[in-house]
Amino acid sequence: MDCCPLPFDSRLLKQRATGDGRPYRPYSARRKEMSVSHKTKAPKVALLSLAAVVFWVALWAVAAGRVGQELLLPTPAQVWTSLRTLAVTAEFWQTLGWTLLRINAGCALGMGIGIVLGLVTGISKTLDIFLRPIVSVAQSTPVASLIILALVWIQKDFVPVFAAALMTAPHLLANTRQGIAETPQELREMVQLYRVSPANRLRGLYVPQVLPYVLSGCASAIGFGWKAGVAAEVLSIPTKAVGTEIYHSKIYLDTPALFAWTAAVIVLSVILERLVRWALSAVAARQQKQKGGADD
Amino acid sequence: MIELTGVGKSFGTQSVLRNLQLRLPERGLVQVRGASGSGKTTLLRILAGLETPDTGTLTGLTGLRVAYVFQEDRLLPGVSALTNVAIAADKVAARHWLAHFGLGDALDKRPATLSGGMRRRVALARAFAFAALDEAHTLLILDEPYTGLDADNAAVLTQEILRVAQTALVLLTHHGGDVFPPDAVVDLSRS
Repeated sequence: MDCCPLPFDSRLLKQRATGDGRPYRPYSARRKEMSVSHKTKAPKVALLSLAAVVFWVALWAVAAGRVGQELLLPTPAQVWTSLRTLAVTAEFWQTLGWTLLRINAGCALGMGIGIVLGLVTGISKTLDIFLRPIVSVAQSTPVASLIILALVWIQKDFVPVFAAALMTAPHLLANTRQGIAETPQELREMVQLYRVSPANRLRGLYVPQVLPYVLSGCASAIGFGWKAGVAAEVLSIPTKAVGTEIYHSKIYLDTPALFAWTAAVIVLSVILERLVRWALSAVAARQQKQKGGADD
Repeated sequence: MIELTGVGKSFGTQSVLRNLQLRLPERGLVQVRGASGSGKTTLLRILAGLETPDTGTLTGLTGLRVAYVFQEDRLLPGVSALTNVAIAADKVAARHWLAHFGLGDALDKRPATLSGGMRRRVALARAFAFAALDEAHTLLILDEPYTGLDADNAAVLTQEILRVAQTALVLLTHHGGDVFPPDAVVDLSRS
């Protein structure tokens, strides 16, 4: 049996909806295509990144060959040999472990202090003004001066902890405060009117709000923490530390070892930063999922 | 009794309220009317203490708690419907009011997974749960509360508004005409 004719051709409407004559495709199909296109691009990016690394290592090899002195600039092969020699010893891993522990403890301490101060200064304008001078001083003072001062004040094994904390805290403070500042005014008014307890405000409003800012701050602060921590180790020479080994490499003019230890620090720092960035994207995806509303 | 004398409020160069004289009863339902942009929401925000008037004085608000259903739902996105209500009262009251507005099965759902009408009902449950803690000392402000509600839930809301209006002052703005006769009307288009 023939049905009533449609008042218009729905396919035509869909074609018009694209506005440029291309056939209409539902969002799900377009999303699938976008995801496929992203997937096909990923190996290209990886290949290009690998090619970039190969290029710079090759350039380093050429430059080292031209210089011709291991003391001034060792070749990548010499550094690799030095790294392999070090990596088979238990002491290498113990040294890395202690540095990892010290600097990560410092970063964690600095992050904790930064987050608490960021929350406090973000919520209270008075405390923000009160703490601003000390934060400015901590941010502007050269890290070497602070390390030397710390050597006078505290035991040498804790100087890298202090330096890493001092470098990471201002980052987290600034990011957390920024997160608080970006909290929607509408929700602030709501919690104020409904007399929501400080604990519930923190749990329900501020923590979800500042979390992406905190993670982003952690990702950038880790690099600074590591640089300051290793510099502090070089200056304070604690027992079993990468910085101490770098210092010894300088004393014994062992440039390949200096490069090898530096490479180990870079690898550790990058791995940690990647871990934090991975956590950041996981949290961002979770929050995006929470914000997307259902239709009526 | 709440009294506003010579209240004025401007935003930049735009004057929203000018020399407003108003006396509100201690209890009952007062409908705030006026064209879009006449200052209804500004008046409600001044009464809630969220805006400070540029001129004039307000008396009679001391000691009053304000339960405010905003035009937007203003729910915390990261927590469940139950927690969104419980932050203003307690969990037992939150369960009761959510069930009263037909959300007994959606206690653990987050706002993003609720429909617009359901989110509205969570906001209403929060306001009524907060008001119920001390109704006699509460100013209940409902800015377009019927938005997104179906007939059944609108009837539940009307019933609750009339009940609370017996012990507290309820201020209501509503675009869809008179739902029921209010005890008094504030018409801002005439000011």
